[in-house]
Amino acid sequence: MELILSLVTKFIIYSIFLISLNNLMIGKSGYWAIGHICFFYIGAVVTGILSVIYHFSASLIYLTFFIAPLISSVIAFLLSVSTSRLKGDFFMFISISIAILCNVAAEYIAGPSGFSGINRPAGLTSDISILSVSIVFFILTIIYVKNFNRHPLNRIYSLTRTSEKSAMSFGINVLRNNVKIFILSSIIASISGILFAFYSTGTDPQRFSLNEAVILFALSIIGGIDSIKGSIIAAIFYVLVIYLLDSLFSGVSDIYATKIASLVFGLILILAIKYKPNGLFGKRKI
Amino acid sequence: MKEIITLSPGFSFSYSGRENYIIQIPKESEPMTIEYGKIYGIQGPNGSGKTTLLNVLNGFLRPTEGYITYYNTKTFNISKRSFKENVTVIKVANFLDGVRRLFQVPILADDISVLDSMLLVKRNKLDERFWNSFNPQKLILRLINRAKESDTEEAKALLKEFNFNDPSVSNSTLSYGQRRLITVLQMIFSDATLLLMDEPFANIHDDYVKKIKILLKLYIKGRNRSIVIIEHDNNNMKDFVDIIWTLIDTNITVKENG
Repeated sequence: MELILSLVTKFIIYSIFLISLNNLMIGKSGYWAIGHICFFYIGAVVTGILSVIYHFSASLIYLTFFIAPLISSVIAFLLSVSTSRLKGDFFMFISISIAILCNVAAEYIAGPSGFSGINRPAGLTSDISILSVSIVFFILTIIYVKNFNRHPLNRIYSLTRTSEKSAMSFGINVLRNNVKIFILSSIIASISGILFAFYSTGTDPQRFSLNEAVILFALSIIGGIDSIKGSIIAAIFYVLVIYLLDSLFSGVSDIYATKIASLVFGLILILAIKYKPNGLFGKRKI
Repeated sequence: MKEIITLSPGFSFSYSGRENYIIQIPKESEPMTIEYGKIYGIQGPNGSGKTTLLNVLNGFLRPTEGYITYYNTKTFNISKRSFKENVTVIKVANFLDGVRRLFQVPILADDISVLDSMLLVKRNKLDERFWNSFNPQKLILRLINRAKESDTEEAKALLKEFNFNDPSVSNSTLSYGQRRLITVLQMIFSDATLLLMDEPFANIHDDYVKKIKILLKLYIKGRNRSIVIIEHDNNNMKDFVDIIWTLIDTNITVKENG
């Protein structure tokens, strides 16, 4: 029972993150943001800082739901403005280096083994309550994204992805729209990070490494770009495979588990590109 | 005020490193203007800079010498290329419902429907507010789409006239000619003051060309609008255009049609 609870909670939290990555960041702006996990990280680490370093009380810790999204949206704003002229592969390199930078910065702040003993907020002390809050956020995110897809903004973003020049000649402010989508997706990602920190009451650095970033990115492509079903399937996949490998290799070494995980995911990615170039549920080619 | 855009005497443009390939207006001649209610045609051999001239009018390129005036405001006066300036230039040149551009190669987003790409040209500032997408669907639609309902009907009618019977079909299923046709229809459907069209009649069936000409004439009739087209076919030029700009030997010459 406990096992199912933990898997379901992780699945919900990763779904929120993957929706923000797959449906908003990659899906709308067309930026291949591998380093999007840094916003997830910021959410978790800010919660850790407030709780472990500043000793926020159980009721004050609710402030993290404002502070962490605020910080990550400021960072997202700076990033999007400074990288606005980079597209495609070049943006991917910058994105990867940002993910590494975040990892190093967080290791500096939290130490090599991350924060542990993060306070859960008052009223959310049990696992079930964390799960229910996550489900609320999960449903809100899905409603938002579904509305977004029917919204006139969606076609503005499709044209911008196809050709920025054409979008500009239609009077669309490309830079502003990109900044908006960066900020929006970073806020959602940081909320999933906060939930993760509260759930695991710590920030395990292994869950935020570049390795993980690449795996999550690849999984969202396998699921299908800009498809909610695809993001959910990707989250299920991620949680299950990580759990299976962790339990298989728990006696041996953690390092083997992550290495084999990337091997498995790499194999899946190759097969997916060969046989399902649109992803499982996506309409768009990779 | 009759002019939308004025190119000053002495205006010239050349790509860096290719100083002998330039387009220019002689210093002693009259300024070249785009006035309301007229259709302008750009003529010239291949490589004479027709598309480049459109890009300059569109604000994508800045003149090497001289200046362009939009609505009597001097927007830019060349030389230093700072990013900020570049952005403002594009903003001024493409003010909402100001200028719409038809590119030579049709640019359509593949993952939206034909109807959506038609509605894309008539933009409402409210469309770009993010909080709109947080509200329940019906509420927003009632708020912002009250005017849009008639737009949708209008777009469907226009599409039907050109045999697009199913407007919900995706752009990715269209042929090259159909894509061109859709981009031309986008121009007709828009509310823009100035249409810059790069070969609007190429790759389009003759019957449709006739229809499009009539619709474009209607587009500017009695309204503060004008059109600039690039066209190779002299027959199309003769019966459609009011003023012809000819690009020969790097100079632009202006001539009334007829």
